[in-house]
Amino acid sequence: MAAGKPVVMVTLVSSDGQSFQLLEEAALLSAMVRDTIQIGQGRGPAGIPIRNITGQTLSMVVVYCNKHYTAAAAADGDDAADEEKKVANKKQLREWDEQFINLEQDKLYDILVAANNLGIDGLVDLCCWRFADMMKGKSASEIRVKLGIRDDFTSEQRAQIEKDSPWVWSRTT
Amino acid sequence: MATGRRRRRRRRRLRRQRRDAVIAAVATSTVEDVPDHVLQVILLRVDSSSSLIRAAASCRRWRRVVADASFLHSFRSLHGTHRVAGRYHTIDPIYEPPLPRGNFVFLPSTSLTGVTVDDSRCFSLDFLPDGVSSWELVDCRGSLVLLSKKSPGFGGVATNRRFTDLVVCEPLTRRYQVIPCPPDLEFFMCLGVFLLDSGFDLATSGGMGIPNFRVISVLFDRHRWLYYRGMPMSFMLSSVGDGSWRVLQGETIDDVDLPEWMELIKFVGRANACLYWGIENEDGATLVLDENTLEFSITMFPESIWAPYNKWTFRVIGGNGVLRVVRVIGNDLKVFRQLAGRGEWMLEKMLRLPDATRGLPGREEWFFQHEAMIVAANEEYVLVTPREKTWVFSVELDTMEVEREHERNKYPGPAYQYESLPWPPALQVCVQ
Repeated sequence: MAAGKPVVMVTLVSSDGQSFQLLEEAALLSAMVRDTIQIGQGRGPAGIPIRNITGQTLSMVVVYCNKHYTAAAAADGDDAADEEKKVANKKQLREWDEQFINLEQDKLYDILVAANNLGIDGLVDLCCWRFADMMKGKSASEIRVKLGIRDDFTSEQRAQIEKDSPWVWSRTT
Repeated sequence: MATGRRRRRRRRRLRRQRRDAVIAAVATSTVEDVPDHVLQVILLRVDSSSSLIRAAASCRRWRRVVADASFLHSFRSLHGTHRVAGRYHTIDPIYEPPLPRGNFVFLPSTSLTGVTVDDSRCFSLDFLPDGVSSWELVDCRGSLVLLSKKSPGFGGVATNRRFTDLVVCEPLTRRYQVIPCPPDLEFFMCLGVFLLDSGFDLATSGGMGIPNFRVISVLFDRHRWLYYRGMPMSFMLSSVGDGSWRVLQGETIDDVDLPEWMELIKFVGRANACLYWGIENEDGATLVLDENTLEFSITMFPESIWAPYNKWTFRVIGGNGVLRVVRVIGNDLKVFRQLAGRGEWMLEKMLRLPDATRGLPGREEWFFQHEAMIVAANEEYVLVTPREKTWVFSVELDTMEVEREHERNKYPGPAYQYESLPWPPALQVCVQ
């Protein structure tokens, strides 16, 4: 973090009234926060109300933003000199990401929808990666269970899929 | 008084807030809250096409998203050729008796975690008419596999033989299209049949049929006006919108002349959209068919490369636009590479086979008295066997590393790369 720069904090308020304070620069990872601040709102003590996102979810999003902001700031401070260290840091962040997102469907959907509404591309990507990972090697019905999908095919459609590719019902591992 | 009212109001507001919080906390997001464009991102991250098709069988909305032409296009370009599901390994009856269930085995690529043993079931092609053992696998392209009917009299001996019925199929969707041999071509000898890249054209790939395909069959005939010479003929077969097929063009090429005996001509490889046939006793002359222009020509390889020519020791391979020739000369495996632009050739790699194989399990002292044979060659590796006994080992072209204990060495014959993503029509079912 550059010295001398004033530290600006932003407050995000969840739909259930919980407020979270974080550095403005960390909050700027969200396109929605960026837009709000750009039109000159959200800097006041009332904070930025985040509709449809509960405190539980928002707290996770804030953790993600803080981590990624500090990682980016540290990388900027290092200069380009130490290539090896940069790669190591990147790997570390990736490991942190994987640990962070190691969740089951309920929470994961909450975070994905929240990240999408807030416009945090990195987090959307991370959630998508996790969902795709959860499908790996699973049969169609296992995918349904794992991801909470309701089977809405008619019996004729199911028969047609069964005829075309019966192997979709079996798993690969 | 006033403060008391305010306090009451505040208390009420707090209570309301708390109640709202409870409702909000209970109402969690589900898959229905994920918009289509985000769902696409999830599905693009899926690492294998078989997983993608499984996901497309989970519900109607997911199937619609996957079947979308632009989505499939992105999926293909994102995963590209890395999404090779595996290889069909064939068994050349010259080296070993064919397997009871057809002359091929599918081996999933090791880099692909999504496809394993269970998927082999759909890759076994057990849905083909007349049983899989009556067909011989001759080519793969994209998601399609081309097979030709074994001619009974010939015991299904590879390459040089009569033109027969063909079938094009897509293993993952278990669809196939039989191409009966046109009656006027029935008695022609065949130098080979190949699948060509079909122009990916959504507009013409009709609903339920299998995807567009183009098959070229290269036939052999007596030369029109040269005595004791032969000439090639090409026939292009192509699918049409309604799932049937037709002959697009047939051409007899009499400005290219070949030996009268077809046995002297052997298919030696496919490289950079050209097909190559080596010709014996013709001083390095090689028949070339350009897949794009469909024109035949004769190319002369320099003597340093072709001599001494022998159909068992000469293969042409491609890769990244570079043309290479793999040879066994005096039991040295040599890789020649054509230099860009000038057409000159250089010796790129060399391996002394008797020394390199020493110590491998099953290696006998009496091997390599005669020149070893190249069983098959592709961009990645070459399969070689000593002439004395079928004892196949592979040579990795990158490292020239010799391996004996490799699954692929169990199947002496060419291997065909198979990419498993089906074309959109197959997924269109149940979307409407």
